[in-house]
Amino acid sequence: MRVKLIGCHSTMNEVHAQGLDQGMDCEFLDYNFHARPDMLHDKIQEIINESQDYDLIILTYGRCSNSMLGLLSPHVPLLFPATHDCIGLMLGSKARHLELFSENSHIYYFSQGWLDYGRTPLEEYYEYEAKYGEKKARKLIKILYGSYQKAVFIITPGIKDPERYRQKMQEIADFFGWEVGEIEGDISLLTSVVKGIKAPESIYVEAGQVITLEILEGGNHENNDHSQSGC
Amino acid sequence: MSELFAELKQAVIDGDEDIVSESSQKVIDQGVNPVDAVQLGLIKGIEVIGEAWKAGEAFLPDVMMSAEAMKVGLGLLEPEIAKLGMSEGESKGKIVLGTVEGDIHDIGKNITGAMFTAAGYKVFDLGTDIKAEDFVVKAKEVGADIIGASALLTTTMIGQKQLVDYLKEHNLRDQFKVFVGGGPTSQVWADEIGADGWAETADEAVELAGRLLAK
Repeated sequence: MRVKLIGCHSTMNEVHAQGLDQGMDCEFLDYNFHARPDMLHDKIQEIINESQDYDLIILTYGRCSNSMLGLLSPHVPLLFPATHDCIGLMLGSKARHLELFSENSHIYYFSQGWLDYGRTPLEEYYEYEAKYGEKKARKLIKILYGSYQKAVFIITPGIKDPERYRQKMQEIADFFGWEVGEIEGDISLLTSVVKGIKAPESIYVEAGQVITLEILEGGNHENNDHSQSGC
Repeated sequence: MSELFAELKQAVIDGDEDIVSESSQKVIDQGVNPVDAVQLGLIKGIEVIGEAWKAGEAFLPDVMMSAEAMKVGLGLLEPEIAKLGMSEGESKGKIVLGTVEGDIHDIGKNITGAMFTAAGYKVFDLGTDIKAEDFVVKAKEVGADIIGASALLTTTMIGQKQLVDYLKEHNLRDQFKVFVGGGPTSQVWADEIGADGWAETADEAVELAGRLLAK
């Protein structure tokens, strides 16, 4: 079985650390696409179109601001997690993400991928500072991130140097005056999806079927043994 | 006097709150007509930045800073206008904005507010975690044309439906156009709850407002 994986940098470390990428063709896309869902949609569609000679296309993208809406793979089925975004995916499920959100909605979550490849709020601040000066940059960043109160690092497998990530997050938190914390991640959903298993909270789309909102809102499949055998 | 208006206009274009604040204070101190200062100064400036954004010549932070600077100027001049019993003059429309109850995400809502300001609308931003009733109280108070409710989570989207239902229950549904937006929302959702409009981006929301209010 030939499998193509289209992933986000946000999940790359975890996929590599688990050795899940063995026997499949992987393509990881820039993290910063998350701020441009329209461009992400086009990029994924382009890769899907180029991957029509595979047996299965796996994506590590969640709904990601509805970037997945309207995608069509004419001849190859698609499989991806049903989470809202990569935070839910790293926490293990949409339900856990929402439960944590209802406990405290003022948390900005960081993962190793986000800290390695993303544009953190502090990096964004420095970009604004260089362009607009300190006063305006502070104002802008307050408009954008002023509601958050705490930075929480999601611990996932494969973190080689946790102290480096802690320091990086601490630096961001200090700048914004946020508290810091950590939470144990759960990548079982990610692992299942990457292994080609139609797990609960994953979405399997038959070849030739356009991804609709109804499909994205679904995502409860019975477990089965549709696993990939490597290629 | 026209020099002062030009100063206000340029300060809004530059997104410079300090100069907007100083110049607005000069308007008050010198007894200059505050309505003219708004119409010929602040609004002229925001029009320039709005056009530049549409033409792809200004960046999002530029628009946001200009909208903020405009807000500072209005904060000083509006009480003066009210004190003198004058009318502020026509705007393209009035929009009450907020993020629904239980949701504190405000990046998209703030960007939308800046875009509506830049397009010549009067924006009343209530902030985040806003109850249906509070949207409506403000909309009635200011005579809003549009109520815009943002939701970023599938669990808080229901707040948008509650807003529409609240308006229906109180026989106010015809008085305001309801716009919904935010990551998990969609046209399908907007239709389902009976909202008047949905847009993917702040720019599309402004365009939609123009079309709906023109009717």
